[in-house]
Amino acid sequence: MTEPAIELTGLTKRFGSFTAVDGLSLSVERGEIFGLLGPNGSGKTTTIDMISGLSRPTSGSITVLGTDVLTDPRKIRRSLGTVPQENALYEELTAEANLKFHADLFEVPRKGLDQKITALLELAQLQERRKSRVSTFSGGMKRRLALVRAMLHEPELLYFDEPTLGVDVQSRHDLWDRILELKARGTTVLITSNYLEEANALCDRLAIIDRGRLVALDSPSRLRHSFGDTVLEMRTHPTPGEDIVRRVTALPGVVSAIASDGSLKVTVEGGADVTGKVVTEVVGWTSLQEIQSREPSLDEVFLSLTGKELRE
Amino acid sequence: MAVRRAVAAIAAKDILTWFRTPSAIVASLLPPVAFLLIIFVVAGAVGRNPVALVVEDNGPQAQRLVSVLEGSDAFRVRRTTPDDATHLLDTLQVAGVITVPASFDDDFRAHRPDPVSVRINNLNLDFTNDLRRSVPAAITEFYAGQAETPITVGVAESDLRPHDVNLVQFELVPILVLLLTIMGVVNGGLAAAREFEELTIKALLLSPISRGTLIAGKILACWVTTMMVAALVLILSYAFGVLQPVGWYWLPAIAAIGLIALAGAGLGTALGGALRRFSAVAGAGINLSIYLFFLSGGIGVAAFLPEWIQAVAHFTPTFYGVDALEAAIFYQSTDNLGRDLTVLLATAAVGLGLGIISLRRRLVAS
Repeated sequence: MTEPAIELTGLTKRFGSFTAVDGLSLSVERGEIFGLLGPNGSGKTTTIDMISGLSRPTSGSITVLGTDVLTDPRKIRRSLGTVPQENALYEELTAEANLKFHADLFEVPRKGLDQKITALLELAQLQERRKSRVSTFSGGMKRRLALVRAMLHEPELLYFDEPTLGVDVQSRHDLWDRILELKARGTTVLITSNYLEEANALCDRLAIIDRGRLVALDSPSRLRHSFGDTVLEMRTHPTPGEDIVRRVTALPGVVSAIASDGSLKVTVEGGADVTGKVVTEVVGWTSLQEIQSREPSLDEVFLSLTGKELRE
Repeated sequence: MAVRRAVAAIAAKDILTWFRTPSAIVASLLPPVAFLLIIFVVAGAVGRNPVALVVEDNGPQAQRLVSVLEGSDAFRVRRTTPDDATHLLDTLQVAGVITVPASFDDDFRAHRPDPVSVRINNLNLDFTNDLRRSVPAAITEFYAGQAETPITVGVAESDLRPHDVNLVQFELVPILVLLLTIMGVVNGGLAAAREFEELTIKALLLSPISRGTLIAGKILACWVTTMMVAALVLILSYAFGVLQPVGWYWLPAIAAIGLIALAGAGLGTALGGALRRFSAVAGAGINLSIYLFFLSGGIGVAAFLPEWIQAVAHFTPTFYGVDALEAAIFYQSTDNLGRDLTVLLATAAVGLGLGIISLRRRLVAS
């Protein structure tokens, strides 16, 4: 059996009395796109810093591509491609100079380097801007350049921090295509994101962490369904009172019911039968004007697991 | 091989970035250029005072005195009429009016007191004292040339140095040292701070290079940039005949320049690691360099300054840089060369040490 790309066991990181990561254990399989989600301050960045060897864990172990991070972090960095949220490109240098600089740091052989750079710039649709300074690039262009830079040394594992933050819709979909192409080539991709639609579109599996702890780990669809099969959104008049919400919540198969401002949102599992019982209950107490049924969203799963409280 | 490639890549990247960052170039070059301009202006203003010369006697002795005055290094003489001279003095266009009276030749022949009058624009003591010294000196020179002279006192001058150095030349050396210090401190600091400010540091830390390789590349870049600018200044100075070391004296001059640049690069890297902000580094680096410039006797001669400044100067590494360069460039002398280069070497080692410690600590904290 192939060993996982990343294996975290009881990973803990403390800063004084504050525990940023608390006994985190998970594994990322080779060739999958794995999403690490969590609210601000949940411990995502600290976890990634430990995976890449930038920060030492207080306790626990990390194995990346079969190597213990604590014993040989530089070996791991050689196999790791990183696309930081802020791109970390040198704005005063050209696209080509940025790639050549990266090649020098990662010891990419000089033989054939120009052709490789040409191929990557073509992939990023930046070949015509090869000699342009990065400071003249749009956000999407910088993001694409940062991605191909991370691919230049052909890493086995690629870490992408907020892949499409601040880019337009076209660039977002283009970047998603590139990431899916990487997966098709066998590259393991680790993503951190606050953008759940993106995680849903790209990731094979998602880990949601909060306050340094793992609160959920599964595929996007299974995570959504663990929250319920169906969300019923009903427009009512008047807004259902607390007693109606209590009655609906008490029905078998109802996961949750929330009333607000002329509407009632009910999450159910169990299909049409449960839906029918909910509707019957609601029309018995208030006037139902409209009803819509849909799948639960990852946003709802995320909020149900991590709460609505704002984080700094 | 891999380390060499990475060090060279970081150095080349930083050098290219410096050349493409006008604010960094301006921050490094503006203070020395400003001081250079000040020196030019001050040298012009205090070197040869403008004076109006009114000659009321056309006799041969009066004309001889006029030629002595006109040939003097102390004045820029402007021949004029009494009325114009008064106007020039009143409108602050001249520092004084020297009048050779109509009776000058007659009085000379009769061995009577020969009053050459001087009206001084005593705007400040510097101007006033220059004229008070220079006019009697010119008259002494005039009498010294006479066959039967009543002046028997002369000055036997012997010079410590092989040749005279004019004020602008003399001040160019501390300004060169200021340039080297600012280039090192400011550019070393900016190159380090930029990585933190523009968040590129993470990409460097996530590469397989060691922190030592990263620091070496950054210090090398700063040193090379400083040496490139120093080379340009030396070539221009040589071409214009201002700074011209002779023969092997090039070697101590280049050694001193290289060590000052290295010390500056180390200190700058330390500053950049500590402050991590472009504006903070530029402000602190320029101030530090200018203080070092003044404390090492940047304006004037350190040995002639008040004792407490002299004491401070001896603890200021740039003092030894100025001393080594003056000895090598102007006087073809090896006096104190060993001491000066040793202090500069030690300073460079301390600067590098501070740079390595500061940046390493910051990189670990990142």
